[in-house]
Amino acid sequence: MKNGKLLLMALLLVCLLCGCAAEKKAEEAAPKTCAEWADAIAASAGFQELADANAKYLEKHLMVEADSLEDFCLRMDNTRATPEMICVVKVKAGVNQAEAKKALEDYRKEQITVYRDYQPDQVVKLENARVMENGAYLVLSVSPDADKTAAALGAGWK
Amino acid sequence: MCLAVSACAEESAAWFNPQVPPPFPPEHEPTGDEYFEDVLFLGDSIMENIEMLDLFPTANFVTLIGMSPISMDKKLFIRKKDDRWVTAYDMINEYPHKKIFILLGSNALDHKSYKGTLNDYQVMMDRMIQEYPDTIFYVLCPTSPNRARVRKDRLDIQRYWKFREGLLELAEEKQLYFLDAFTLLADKDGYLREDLAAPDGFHLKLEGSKLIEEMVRTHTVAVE
Repeated sequence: MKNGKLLLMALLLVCLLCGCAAEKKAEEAAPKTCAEWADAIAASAGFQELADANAKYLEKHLMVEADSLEDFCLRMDNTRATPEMICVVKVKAGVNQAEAKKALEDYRKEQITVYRDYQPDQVVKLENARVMENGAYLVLSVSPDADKTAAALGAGWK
Repeated sequence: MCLAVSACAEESAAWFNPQVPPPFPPEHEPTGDEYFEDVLFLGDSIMENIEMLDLFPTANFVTLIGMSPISMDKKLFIRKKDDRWVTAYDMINEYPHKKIFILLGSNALDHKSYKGTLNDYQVMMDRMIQEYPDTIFYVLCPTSPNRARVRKDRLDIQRYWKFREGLLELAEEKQLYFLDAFTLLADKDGYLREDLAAPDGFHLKLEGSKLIEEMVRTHTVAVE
């Protein structure tokens, strides 16, 4: 009986250690930069081929001020045949993050209006997209599979 | 030949460099980015893609997905400075320019006759020539869809050919420089080349956009 308890405790200890190690590994593997987050999202679903867009495009089309960001990564369908895109921004400390979040949400809504007349079959991707937030990071991903993309982001995003 | 700005305006023909009569600008070595500092590109999703790819980093763009000549004053943009909805014509005024490159027409040709689309194009050009009498205009002939897209949507490929011919005539009449993106990207039967077509058969892969960039850079005209 005593041996059984010892064995059980030893097993529990092993499980705990394994769990901690796995958690640490996941933490280490977690994306840190906006480009790394974008890579993780891109790998989650069968996106069209994407191309990087610059700060000028971000400011003009998504109306997010580049100066308000510590880091960003914007990738668009490199043919513009679909609205598929990944936008990850890290807002600078002290900047009103709600403004950047609203800009991304407004862009999504505007694109719905544009695509409703243009390619109605693409609208569902925009309707399923959501602006997600995790600390200073914001993500707008217009994905061919929103569920897979949300799963790729993992916990901590709302 | 129209040499004086005032005379051009009366005839509803655009200003042009008298040394290089329209419609065909001669080919030359690629022009650098400095030429495009006072250029405005106007167009639809294909032009927006060129903007997104930053192929002309010093130029300004007025682009909207789905835009066509007739929707220039129907589709609306949010103007950043005052957060108001404005038309493409209003947006053009936001950017100082001496040259305007236009790539429009594809979004009308998929459902409208070539004559109707040409008529809309002419109305648009008359308005812009009147508004900007000192501006040089380049018209880029829209590209056609590929074979699969034509089959799928039961499009009439002849419509694209005829539009090209009509746009060239309009360019001659209005003294516009004509850049033939249609022929540049088409196969021998007039369909968009398969190796340049996006999966939807209408938009362009990166290589297609780069060919347009090269054509533009090698066919510019100096502003005298």
